[in-house]
Amino acid sequence: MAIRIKLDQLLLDRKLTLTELADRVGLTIANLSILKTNKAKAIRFSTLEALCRELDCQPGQILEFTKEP
Amino acid sequence: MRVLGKGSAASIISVVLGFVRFFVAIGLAITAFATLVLPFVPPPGYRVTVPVSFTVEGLSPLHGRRPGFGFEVGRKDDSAEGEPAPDNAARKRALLDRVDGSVTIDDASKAFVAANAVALMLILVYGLFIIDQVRAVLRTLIHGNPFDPANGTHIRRVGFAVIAGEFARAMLVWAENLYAAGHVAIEGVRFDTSPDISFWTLIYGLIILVIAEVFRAGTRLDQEQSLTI
Repeated sequence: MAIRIKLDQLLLDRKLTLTELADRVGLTIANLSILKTNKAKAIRFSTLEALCRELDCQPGQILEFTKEP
Repeated sequence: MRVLGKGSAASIISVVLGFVRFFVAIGLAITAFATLVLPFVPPPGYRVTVPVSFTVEGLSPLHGRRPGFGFEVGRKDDSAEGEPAPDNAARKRALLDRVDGSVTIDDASKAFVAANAVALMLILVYGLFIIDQVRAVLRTLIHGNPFDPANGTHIRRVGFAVIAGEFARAMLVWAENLYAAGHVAIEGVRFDTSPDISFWTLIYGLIILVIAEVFRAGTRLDQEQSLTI
C-alpha cells in the first residue's frame, strides 16, 4: 500500500504500548493492530483525530506516502 | 421467519437439501453399480425410459402446445378438410407441438442402455455439484455471514452450471429423439430431431451470474467496511 501508518515509531517515542493507546483512543487492540500493520483499507477522521490528540502529533506524522515500484 | 442464523429458512433448506443429496448420492451409487454389472447381464429384456420431445399429429382433436407462444397469420381454418368424429364435431383440429415426455423402449441394445446409464450418472453428479454449491452458500447464511468471500464463487458456479446444464439437457434430449426416431414407431407421434434450448433457462442462468457479481461487490464493500478503522 502506498500510504503507510507510522505508529511504531510514535509509540516508541512516547513510551506507550498498543494496549494503552487503544484504551485512550477508544479502539479495540485488534483494530489498532490492523491499523499498525497497514492492513486497514481506510481510516476515519475521528480515529485520526483521536490518535493525533493522544500522541500529540500532526496527521502527517502518523501517515506516510511511499512510492511503490 | 428469520433468513440468517440457526433455525432460519436457510437452515431448513439446508437440511432438506442434505436429504436430497443423500438420495441423489444413493441413486448415483446404484446407477454406477448397475452400469458395472451390465456386461454380465444377458441381453434380452432391457427396457429403458428416456426423455424425449415430440409432436403429436394426425386427426386427433387435440388442443394445446408446450408452454410458450406461437402466432400464425393468414392461416386458413382447415377443420373442414379433415373429417372429425361426430362427437368432436364442435372442436377444431390441432397439433401438440414439442411435447416433453418420456418414451419406454423395450429390448434396447446394451450400448444404448450403457450410454443412458452414463448420462444418468452425469446428471446425478451435476445435481450433487449444484446441491453442494447451494449448501455451501446456505452454511454461511446459517453462520450469519452472507458476505463470505467464497459465496460469489459458489453462486457463479451455479449460474454457469445452469447454463451449461441447459445445453447438455438439450443435446441429451436431441440425441434421445434421434435414437427414438430411428427405433420407435408410434402412430401420429413424430420425434423432434432438432435441438430445443430453453431460452428462459439460459436467462435464469444469467440472472444467477448477475446475483453472483452483486454478492462479490457486497463482499468487497463488507471487507472495506470492516477494515475501515
